[in-house]
Amino acid sequence: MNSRQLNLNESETHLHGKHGKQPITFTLVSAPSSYFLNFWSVDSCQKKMLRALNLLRSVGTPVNSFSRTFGVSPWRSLKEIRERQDGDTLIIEAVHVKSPREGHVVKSDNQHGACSLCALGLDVKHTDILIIKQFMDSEAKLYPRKITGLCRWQQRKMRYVIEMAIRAGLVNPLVASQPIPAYQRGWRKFNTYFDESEIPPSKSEYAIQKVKEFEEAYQLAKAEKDAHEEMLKTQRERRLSRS
Amino acid sequence: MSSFRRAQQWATFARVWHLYDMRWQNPYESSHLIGKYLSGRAKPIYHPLNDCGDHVVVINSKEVALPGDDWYRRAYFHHRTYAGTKTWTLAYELHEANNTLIVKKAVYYALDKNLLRRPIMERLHIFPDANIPPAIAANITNQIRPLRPVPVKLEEIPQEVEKDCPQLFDLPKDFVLGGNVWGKPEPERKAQPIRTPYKPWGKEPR
Repeated sequence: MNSRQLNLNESETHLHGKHGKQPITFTLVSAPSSYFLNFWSVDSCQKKMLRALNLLRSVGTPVNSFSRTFGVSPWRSLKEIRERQDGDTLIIEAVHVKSPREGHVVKSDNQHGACSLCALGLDVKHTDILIIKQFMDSEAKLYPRKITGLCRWQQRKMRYVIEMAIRAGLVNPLVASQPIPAYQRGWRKFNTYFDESEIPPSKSEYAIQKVKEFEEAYQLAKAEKDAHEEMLKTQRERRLSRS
Repeated sequence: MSSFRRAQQWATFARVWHLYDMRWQNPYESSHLIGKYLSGRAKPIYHPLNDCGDHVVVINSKEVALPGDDWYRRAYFHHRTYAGTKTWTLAYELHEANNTLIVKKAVYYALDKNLLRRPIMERLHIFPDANIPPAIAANITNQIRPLRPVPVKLEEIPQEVEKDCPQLFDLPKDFVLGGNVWGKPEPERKAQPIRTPYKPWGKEPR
């Protein structure tokens, strides 16, 4: 275990019958050194792999199906997990890659720590799919707030807006590349659009209090404005009566 | 009378042919706009007893858009005047049977309810797609601006445009491309009940 290789020779014999003649070994190519110190102990890691293999044996799925979600180390940087067959060894490696968004990120002057949508003052509609797409994965699921970096209100709004875009047929949640044929969609084959103003207000205590505060401030400002206008009106009347 | 005034006189009493593209438009909103041109309200010489309306050619009527769940909430009532012949046809059923009827009914209800309504409706030409007979296409001289923009699907956007689009945030450093965001492998994740923010009231058909 000192070298960064995990050879599970025990499981080879079991895997022989179902998954072809080649013995299968797993090789961890690029695990960071912090892996041993930080997150999982080696034993738990080995246990996890064995459990996964047991599960594979019972279900009888090909090995490739679980290698996607196979994580044995804490994520340190933007990575891509690749797998390749080198002789009779299946190599799963995490390669450091450049972020696809590098150079395209909008810079906003949010000195007060506002989220990206609040800072730019964007009113996102469900038809703005190039914006919506940035906040969701390939299955049209919204990323958690830890990743998107949005405030609660905007995150909640994005949740609704994504649902609207899916229901309007602008985004395909099943397979991003494959369009759904019209005959499979029933009444949904006809075009539908949504109104963002119909998103129900949040029922959380925080939101209710914020809305209350806003309404109070609005009433105050309105009363002030009305008083000012009334004063101007009386001045005008006085001026007219003088002349 | 000068030649200009004479031409103006002709243009005043001429019937103009307008084109309206119904793709992704709400028929009930745009029916009032179409009705304005059909009945001649847009003209200065308009009078309710004056038959001065224009022709409107509506294309792409099969691609109308209804808001929200209107496709299965909106019902069209019909009675054949025999006992037990009341029918309530849902909007999507009506549209499946005839893809011009929703637009026609919407404009019919938007017009003034008087004896001129049926002659005015004769000047409305609806086509399910963009194929217009050349005899009608030759008359068209004006296009009415659609009310709402036509949305684009994600599949129709080319890759280059999608890549060059300005991004609102960068992915965090501990992000795995194509990985599981929630940190747990698939078989261990608990199955969640399907909850949608826009759960419609009642039952969806099909």
